[in-house]
Amino acid sequence: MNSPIHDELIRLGLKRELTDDDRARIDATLAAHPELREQWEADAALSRVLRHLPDVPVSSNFTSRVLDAIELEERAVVRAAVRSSWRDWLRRVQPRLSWVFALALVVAFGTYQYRVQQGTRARTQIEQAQFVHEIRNLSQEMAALPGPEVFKDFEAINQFRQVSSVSDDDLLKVLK
Amino acid sequence: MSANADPDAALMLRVKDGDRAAFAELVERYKHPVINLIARTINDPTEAEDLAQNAFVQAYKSAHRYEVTAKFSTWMFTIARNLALNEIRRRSRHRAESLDETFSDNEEQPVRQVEDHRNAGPTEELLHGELVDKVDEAVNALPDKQRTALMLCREDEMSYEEIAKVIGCTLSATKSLIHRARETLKDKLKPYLRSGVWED
Repeated sequence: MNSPIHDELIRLGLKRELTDDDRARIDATLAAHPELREQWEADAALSRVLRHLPDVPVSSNFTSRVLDAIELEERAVVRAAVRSSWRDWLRRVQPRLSWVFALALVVAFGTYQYRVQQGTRARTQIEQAQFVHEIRNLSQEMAALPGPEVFKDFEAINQFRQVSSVSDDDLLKVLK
Repeated sequence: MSANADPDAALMLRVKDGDRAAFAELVERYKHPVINLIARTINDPTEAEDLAQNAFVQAYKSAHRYEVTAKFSTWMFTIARNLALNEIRRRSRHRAESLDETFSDNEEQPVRQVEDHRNAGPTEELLHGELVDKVDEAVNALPDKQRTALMLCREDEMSYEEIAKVIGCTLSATKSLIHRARETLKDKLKPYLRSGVWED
């Protein structure tokens, strides 16, 4: 089993080289417990090995690449926010737009119907006016016709025509 | 935890207010550990950088949800680990190329071609050779949680409690995972650890 000092120095040995003070402490521990020496030496060697493992090489422009990537991300976020705000606006006004559209549709239909009715009424008025005009013409023509007195001897003349076979020419000759 | 106690949390509070320079500072601080963690989790250093980029972008986008009660490093590593696990699931669903094959061709791994300039010396020269490959192989063969816990253990400011939060285990389970990982590695790397070539 390791001593607490042993454990602590093994942990420190992974992070940094041991100081003279550290070495003095471990020497004191090993003097008291010589059976730990072999184990300590193996642990100390392993710590050195791990401490000296080379770092993975890093591009010299790594930090600026990170900052560029952040810049790109932020722009993308702003673009997404703008798109999202448009969508939100549309979503907000969509019910109102629906109402406005429905109202416009009703108004348009009403206007159309009104115009159709107006047209029908105008056509009726024109037809009525034409009818009145025709009636007036007809009555004028009727006024120009001879009165009912011309039909006074209608029946006698009519019978005369049916009975007599004398032609009009003959009749005229007689009358002369 | 207050923002004064964790300077990263203070930076993150500035990020919440839209300070992108503060976030750039955090990226600079954490890019290496985050990419390392992801690379070790998915066993693919090539893809790790892109995933790490996504992790940082996600962290920035989630900045408004960040609470100062957690350390920034714990929060950041949790995001990175979750993305890495999602990538593993995605790959297994799409039956992408074998993850094991990724590390089979050691000569083509850029991770082994780049020298660590921070620690120039004979030990490092050897670490970039065959022995590093052996260590890589042994670490990659560890179960996912053990590997992640061990890698997080390397990070300066990660306590066992914070590692437990990142991997979603109890404190005792986390300690146990790290202990088992170390024992496995010691066993596999015994001949190399005794060679003395790992000395500082």
